[in-house]
Amino acid sequence: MNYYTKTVARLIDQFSRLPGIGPKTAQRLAFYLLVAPPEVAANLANAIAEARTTVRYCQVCGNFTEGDRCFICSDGRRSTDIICVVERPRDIVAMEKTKGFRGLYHVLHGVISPMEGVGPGQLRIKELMRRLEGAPVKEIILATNPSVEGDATALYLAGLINPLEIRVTRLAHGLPVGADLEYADQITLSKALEGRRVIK
Amino acid sequence: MYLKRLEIANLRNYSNQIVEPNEFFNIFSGSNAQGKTNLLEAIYLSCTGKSFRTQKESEIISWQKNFLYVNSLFETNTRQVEVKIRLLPHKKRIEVNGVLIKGHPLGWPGVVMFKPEHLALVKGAPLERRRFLDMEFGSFYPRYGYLLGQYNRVVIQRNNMLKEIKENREEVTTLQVWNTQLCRYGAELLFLRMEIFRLLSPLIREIHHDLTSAEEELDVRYLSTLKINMPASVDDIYDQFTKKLQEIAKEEIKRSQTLIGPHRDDFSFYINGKDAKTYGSQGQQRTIVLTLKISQILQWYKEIGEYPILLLDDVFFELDKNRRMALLKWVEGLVQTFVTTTGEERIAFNNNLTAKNFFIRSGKIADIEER
Repeated sequence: MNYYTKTVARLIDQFSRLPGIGPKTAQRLAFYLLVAPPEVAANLANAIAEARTTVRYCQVCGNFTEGDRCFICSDGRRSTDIICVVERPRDIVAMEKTKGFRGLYHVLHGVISPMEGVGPGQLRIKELMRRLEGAPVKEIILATNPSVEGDATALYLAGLINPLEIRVTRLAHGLPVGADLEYADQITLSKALEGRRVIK
Repeated sequence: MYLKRLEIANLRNYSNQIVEPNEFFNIFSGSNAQGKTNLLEAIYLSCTGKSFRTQKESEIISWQKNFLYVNSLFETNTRQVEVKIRLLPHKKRIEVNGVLIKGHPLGWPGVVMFKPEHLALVKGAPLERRRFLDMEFGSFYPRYGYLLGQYNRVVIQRNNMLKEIKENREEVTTLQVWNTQLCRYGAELLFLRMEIFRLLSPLIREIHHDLTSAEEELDVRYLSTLKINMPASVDDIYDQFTKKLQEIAKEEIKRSQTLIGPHRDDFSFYINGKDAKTYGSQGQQRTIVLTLKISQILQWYKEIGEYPILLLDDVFFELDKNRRMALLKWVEGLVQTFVTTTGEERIAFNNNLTAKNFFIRSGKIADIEER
C-alpha cells in the first residue's frame, strides 16, 4: 500500500538506510523536514554533501580530515613516539575525550574477522608498519575492543611489532571507575583480577 | 525449596487451574494427552522462566487465546518467593515478589528435569552429551559460559580462516593469532570440565552403586581429543594444545575445520568396565541418567544450600521397584518431586511415603488423593 507520495517515500527510504534509524524515526525525520522552514532542509542537504566531498582519510593515521593530515597528526605539540592503534575513527574521539593521551593514533578501519572475509590485508596494517620504519616510535598501544576479533587483531599486530623492539601494550580490562565490587559481573571481576597491579 | 501453590491460566489445554502440591511427592496421573506434562511445563516455567519443550514460547499459550499467566509461590529456606509470569505472543514479563526481572526468577535454575528424551544422553551423539555438560554442570562455574561463548566464536573464526588459507587467500602465519586464542580459552574450558569430572565421578559412582543395589559399578570418563595426561594445569594444557595444533595444521587446512579441542570432546559411561553406549540396556541407560540427575541435585545443594525441585516425566514408574525405592531414599523429605504416569497406580510403592496424587482429565484436575 502507498501511504506517501513518491518523493516522500524516497526520502523516508533514504533515512531508514542510516544506522540506528528505523522506519518510524525515518518517517518522523522526513515529516519534520517537510514542515520546517525550507532552509533547514537546504542546510542539512548542503552539510551532508559538503562533508562527503571534502572529508577524507588522513594520509598518516586514517582518521577523518579535510586536508591531507588530520588535526592530531599536524599538531606539533603531540609526542610522536607513542601511537595508539584503534578500530574506528570514533574510538579516537573516545580516547581524546579522556584528555589523558598526548600521542598519535592509527586507525585500522576494522578488525580481523575471517567470518566476514576481513583479513590483515584489508586493514590499514601495511600503513602502520610503514609509519614505524625510521620513525622514533617507542610504544604502540593496542586499543582494539576486548572481543575475540579485537584480541586476534591485537595478537597479530603484537607479532609484527615485537621484533622491531618497540614496546607493545594492550589497554587494561576490568572494573569501570566509580563501580562497586558488589555490582561487577563475575567475568569483568575475574578480568580485573588477572590484570591487577602492584601498589606502592 | 518447594512449590507451595501454582496458578495457571491459558497454558496449552488448561484454561484455569490451581495446584497446591504436597511438600514432598506429587503424582500427575491420567491417560495420554490429558495435560500431565503441561503441568510439569508450568512448574519448569515458574522456576526458569523458560519452557523445556519449545523455543517458540507463544506455542505454550492456549489455542485462540492471546496471553497466559503462571503465578507460583515458592518456599525456600530463607524466604517466600512469589513468581508471576505473563506471556503474550511476543512479550514476556517475569515478576518476582513484585519486582520485574530478567533471567532466572529464582536466581538459579531451581529445577532438575528428567524426560524420556534424556535417555539419548548415553547412546546419542556426542553433541548431546557436551550440551548436557555445558548447560547442566557448566552453570556451577560463573566463568564457564563466558569461556564457552568465546571459545565457540574463536572456532568459527578459525574455521573460516582455515578455508581462506586453503584457498590461498590468506597466509598460514595469520592462523597463529587464532591458535593462541583457541588454546587460551580451550585450555581453561577443558580444565573446568576436568574439575567437574573430578568432583562428579565419586558421587556418580556412589549414587549408581546405591540405585543398583551394589550390582553395578558406574565409571564416567572424559574423552579428550587432546589426549592430555591428567592432572594438568591450565598452562600445561595450553602448551600441549598448542603443540598438537602444529602437528595437525596440514590436515586442518585440508578439511577447513578445527579438528581437536573441547568442542570435539566426548565422555562415556562404563558399567562394570563395559561401555554403556554399546552394551547398555534400556534400563541401564535410564539408571545412568537418573544417577546424573541425582548428582546434579546434590551438586546444587552444595552450591546453593537449597534442593531444587525434581520433575520426572514418564520415568518414575518405568523404573523397577528396587530402583524406585533407592531413588526415594535419596530425595525423600529433601527434594520436592513431581512425577507423571499413565498408570492407575494408587501409590502402592511405598507405605510410609507422603504423597499427593492428582488425576488429570482433559486439562483439569479431576480428583485428588492424599496420603
